[in-house]
Amino acid sequence: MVARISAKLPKALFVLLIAAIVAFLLFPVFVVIPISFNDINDLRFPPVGFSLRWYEAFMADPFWKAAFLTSLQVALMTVVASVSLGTAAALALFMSDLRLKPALRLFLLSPLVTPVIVLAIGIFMVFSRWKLAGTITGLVVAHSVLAIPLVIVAVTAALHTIPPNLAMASAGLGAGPVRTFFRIRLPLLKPGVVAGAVFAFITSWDEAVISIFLSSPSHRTLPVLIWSGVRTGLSPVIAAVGSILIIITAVGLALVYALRPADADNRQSL
Amino acid sequence: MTSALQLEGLGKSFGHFRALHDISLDLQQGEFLTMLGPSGSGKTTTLQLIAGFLQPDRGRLLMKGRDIAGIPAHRRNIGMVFQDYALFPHMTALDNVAFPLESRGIGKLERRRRAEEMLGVVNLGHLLDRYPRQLSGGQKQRVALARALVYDPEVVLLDEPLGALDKKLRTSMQLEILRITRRFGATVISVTHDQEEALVMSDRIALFSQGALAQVGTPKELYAKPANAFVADFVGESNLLPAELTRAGGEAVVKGDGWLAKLPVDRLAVGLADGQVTLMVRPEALRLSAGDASPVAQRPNSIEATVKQVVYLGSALRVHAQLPNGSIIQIAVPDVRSLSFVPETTVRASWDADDVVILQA
Repeated sequence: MVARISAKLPKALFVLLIAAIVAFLLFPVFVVIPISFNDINDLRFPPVGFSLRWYEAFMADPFWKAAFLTSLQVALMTVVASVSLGTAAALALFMSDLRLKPALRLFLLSPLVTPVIVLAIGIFMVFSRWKLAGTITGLVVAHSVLAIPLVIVAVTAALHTIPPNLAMASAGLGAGPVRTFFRIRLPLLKPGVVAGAVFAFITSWDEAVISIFLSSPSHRTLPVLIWSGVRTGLSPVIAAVGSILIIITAVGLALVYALRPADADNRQSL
Repeated sequence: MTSALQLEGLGKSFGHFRALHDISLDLQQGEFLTMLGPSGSGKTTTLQLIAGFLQPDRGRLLMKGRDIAGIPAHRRNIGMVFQDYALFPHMTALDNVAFPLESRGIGKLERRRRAEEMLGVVNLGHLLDRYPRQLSGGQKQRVALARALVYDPEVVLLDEPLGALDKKLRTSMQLEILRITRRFGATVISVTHDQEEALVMSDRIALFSQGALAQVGTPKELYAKPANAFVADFVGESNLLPAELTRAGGEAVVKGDGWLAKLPVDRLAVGLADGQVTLMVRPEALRLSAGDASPVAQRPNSIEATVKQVVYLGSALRVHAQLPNGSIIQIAVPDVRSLSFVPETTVRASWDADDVVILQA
């Protein structure tokens, strides 16, 4: 009897704790999204009235529109750069038996643990000299530095799920290394590559610190414009832009979930 | 008969461990050879050398007389079935079987036709569009076999092909694999540690022990004329009795502890010297009768023992009996109704001189 209660109690506590964490994490979302529908020119919560006027204001404003397009362009280019480089790096790390492999892996993953502000200052100083600061290319390269480790982690995880003898079987059946890569390895890596791509997109999409350093008036991303908007005057447009950022991020994560390995489900149902 | 594959003095070491030394084998076209041995005896290493997944340190590997040492795995035209089948999970059964044809640049329609036909041969014509995860173990096995045969390879390698199947399925798949590979006249090398499987399926067996070949021969040769005690012990069941050999005229006299065997000298292996030897006799070569306590010299080719255990096997009985020196011998009794051999009775087990093999001690 006593044992049953003490066994149940931690479980109830556990559920409570999880609920608290989830609420804590989601709380800003539940505030920001309603605020964006305010009918008055104030960031008031709960919102007063209901209107889409701040979304209309966002779309009518050429600065917001330009920033949205810049963010989208930078994020998509970051995806292309970091997915191709990150996948190649993950494969190389996986297949080589180089003595330097652990050091190399640590080096490639180091942006994950470097304080972003340190990275930002370093990147800004170097890019200024290289005339990359304030350009789209500069933003893409800097964001890729942050995104490549995430792609490496996602693809490496996927590589470990592929039975090692499939590549051997493919060779035994007459397929050269190139065919084995494109017909066997890559299709089986797809969930990992897609996850890496989405993480890369999100990383670039809501990156603010480095972008503030590297932005120029002609190339500003959404988070940068939000930041300067918050400083100069609080308008519900910011809540509307924030909501758009959140929704696009959520769509990305939903994509990862929808494209997770088909095996995981089918094995259970069969 | 032309030889499809020749192994000449192959050797392979991993660091200081000598995994293989001096493996020489000659595989005939259309032959089914089983590489048998305990785990770690070198049979899988040999298979990987042939497949091209490993490179030998010494020796030569000839396919139809051509040295294939430098040829990478994907250009060797060898078919391989892995123990866990290694089917591609993102492809249907049909695409799996068509994959090696695709690698050989065969057109889409032609490879579909051939893959379909091949899946028909392995009785899976109705499951073409199933993914590996939707197939049972036996069905996966058939897909893997079809995939390894569809491009008519020079040699088909089977790595523990039945290891993942349950016993009943294993027995039927043994015959099924034979039927299919025979139909294509395929040259097959199968690796297994299951001696029963080796006896059933093989034209010849190559028995490995500690990285070397213990004996190569037909199942019958290995069973009836094992070259040494390891072979006798590994293939089938055997009673091994220490003894001393002396030759007297045309007769060999083998004297053990409380028994005597006599056989013609020409039944002895060439080069077997007088002195310490081992007499090998199979359980089914022994006949049981009531004990009679007659002197050893009057009853050669028999031994007196005490029944310790009678095991009922359904189709036969297996009697475990203890010799005067304490060791246990096994006797197969085909007639399950002969229940007179109760424990602790004294019995006499006798054999024909033709049924024993004298081995180096």
